[in-house]
Amino acid sequence: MKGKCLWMVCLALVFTLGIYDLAGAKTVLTIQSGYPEIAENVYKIAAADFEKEHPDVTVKVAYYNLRDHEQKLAMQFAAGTPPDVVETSTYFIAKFLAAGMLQEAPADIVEYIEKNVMPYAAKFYKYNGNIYGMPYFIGIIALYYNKDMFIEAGLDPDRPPRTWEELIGFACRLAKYEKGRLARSGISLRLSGGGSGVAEKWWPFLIQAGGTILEKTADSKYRAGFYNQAGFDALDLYIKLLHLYKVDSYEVKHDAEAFALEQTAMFERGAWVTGYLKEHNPDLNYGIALLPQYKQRGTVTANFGFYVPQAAKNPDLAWEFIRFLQRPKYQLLMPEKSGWIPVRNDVDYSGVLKETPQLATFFETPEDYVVESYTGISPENEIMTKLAAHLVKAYRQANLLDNPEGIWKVLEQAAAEVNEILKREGLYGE
Amino acid sequence: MGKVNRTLFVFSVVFFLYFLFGILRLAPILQMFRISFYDFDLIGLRKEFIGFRNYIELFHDTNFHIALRNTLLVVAISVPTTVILAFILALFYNTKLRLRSFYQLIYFIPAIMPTAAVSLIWRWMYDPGYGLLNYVLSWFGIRPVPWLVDERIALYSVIILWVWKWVGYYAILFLVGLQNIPEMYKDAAKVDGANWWQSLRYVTLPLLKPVTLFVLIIASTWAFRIFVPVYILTLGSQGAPGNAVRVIVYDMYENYFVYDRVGYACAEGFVLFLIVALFTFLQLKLTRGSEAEGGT
Repeated sequence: MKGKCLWMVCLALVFTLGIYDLAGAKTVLTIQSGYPEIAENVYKIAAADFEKEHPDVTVKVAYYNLRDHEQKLAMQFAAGTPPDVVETSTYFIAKFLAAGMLQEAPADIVEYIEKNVMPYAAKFYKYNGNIYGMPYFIGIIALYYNKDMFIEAGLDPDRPPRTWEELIGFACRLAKYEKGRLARSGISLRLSGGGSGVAEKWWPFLIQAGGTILEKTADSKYRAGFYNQAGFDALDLYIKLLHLYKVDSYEVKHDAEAFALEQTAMFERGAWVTGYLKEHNPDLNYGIALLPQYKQRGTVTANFGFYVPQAAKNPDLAWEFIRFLQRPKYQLLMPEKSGWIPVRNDVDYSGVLKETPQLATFFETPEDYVVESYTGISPENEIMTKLAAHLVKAYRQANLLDNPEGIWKVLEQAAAEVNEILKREGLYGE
Repeated sequence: MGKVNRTLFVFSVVFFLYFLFGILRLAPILQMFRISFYDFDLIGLRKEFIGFRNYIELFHDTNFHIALRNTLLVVAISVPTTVILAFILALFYNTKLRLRSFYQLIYFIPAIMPTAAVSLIWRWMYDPGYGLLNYVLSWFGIRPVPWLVDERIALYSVIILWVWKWVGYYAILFLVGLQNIPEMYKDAAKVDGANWWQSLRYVTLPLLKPVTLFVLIIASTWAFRIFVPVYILTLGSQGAPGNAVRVIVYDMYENYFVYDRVGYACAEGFVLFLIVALFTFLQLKLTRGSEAEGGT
């Protein structure tokens, strides 16, 4: 009798626990991002709202710095365990797209993209005539300048440099020296660091000079597009700014940090810096302008969106969450909280622009403004990184000043390496 | 337990250990060696047998040459520096000075801290504007040193970090060795009229040989595998230029994860394995040779 009772108690316990477990089990949807400022300020808020509307779902927002995020994604795709929603750039995702590892966008999303997404962003999501993923935000490089420093230097704070000549002249007037050394850079150039960043920041100057990193050939292949006068002019500009005009140096801070600390007067970067500045120097009096012109005007964009892998555990829910993220509330949170520019063109951003008027520059693209982006070919990252290594080395060489042969040699070597990579991958065209 | 059972037991335990070693150590090396003969990417788009082409390409790859040179430089500078400093520290620990344990702890902390955290701290110390090192140099009127961004000194900045991280750990290993030397040998040397230096040269150092060999092998193996500091210190606009601090594992990482050239990265990995194996073999050979000569 005692034994029977014990068995019954055990059975009841197992049954109760089983019911409890079934009741408590929720579907877990994972989204992985390489941009902590967006993950924290947009995705997490959206995730909480989504969970309220879907009580049986838990949304896990994972984020890492960009390099770690991309490394993890590569491993996750290879292992067949990617997150349900992948947020990444169109150029990073290209190889996974080619490998057939991503789901085509559902019909309603395709329709939505055609109607509501900025056309120059939407084109990067097309592959073999089909749409994969959902465009979400864009990075456009523009010129940041400190208005107070302009006033101090006797410059009009509402008249940023419009040509290379003005850029050099303004930078010279804005640079500050103490005891014979640069204390505040006139313009902060990207001179160092690993990876492709150095080449990416040189690229807009190359476009303005009439060149490009990868030139498309008649047979729809590519070759280096900078071993020419444009490449010469863009590299020569850097060498002169550094070693002739001395408006930047290796001894001062660089990039967004320098701008927030008021240690540089100008620099070129994407819209995310507005979010960074809100956090690090909210009182900074600054403006954002289109990049100056040389032979033409132009800049570089990077496109970012959401993708659902074929191996996603909850694909339908993943697309549902992507649809949810299109709501105006989250579109407005993007520029407001993170500084990134969403690509939905049917949302009224006037409130955000009122609060951060500088962002307006990112919403305007004049017709003559040449906007280039990554091609999406698989060795692009390698090409950019290896080109960056040549540039880093060249920038340091003061002997390249008034040394056209030296500059041509740098460009020749860099172009040869880029073309070799393209040949190796069967992507080189004459 | 009968004799047969005992033999079976010993055999099974030994077999299990070898099995684990095989699965966890040998199999990955063999797999790496196999993949190194393929044009292979992470997601399976390419998988073509290309023979020795990856190895041939390594011979012509400027990045690999830079990485190899930098790695050898890291080993050549960091290993002797760390070992000598660690030995000096161990001698200091082995005295009867006050606060000895406190100093041991202070020097040991970097070794137990994650390398990523240590690298971040040094990144701040190397900052051209706010870094502690440049601040100290400014007291003496020295201009700020671009520790990371100047490609001529960036690698030495990495080496300084590496030496600082490991010196305390090796010092503790030397201390253990020093404390295991029986006092009677030193006493005998004293009786024979040996001074401090002679006692160190002819008694302590020869008896410390096994520990020294262990430290040398560990220090060089770890130095060959240096990666995390390079990875952290090259991040961002104030980061070190990639090529100036490129080491073999960083180059492997880039080829594997960034460029998706798994086969090529495996070829690099196998070359690194051969270099480390050869280096360790030479160290063992040299030390055993000198042991035989010294008759210890």
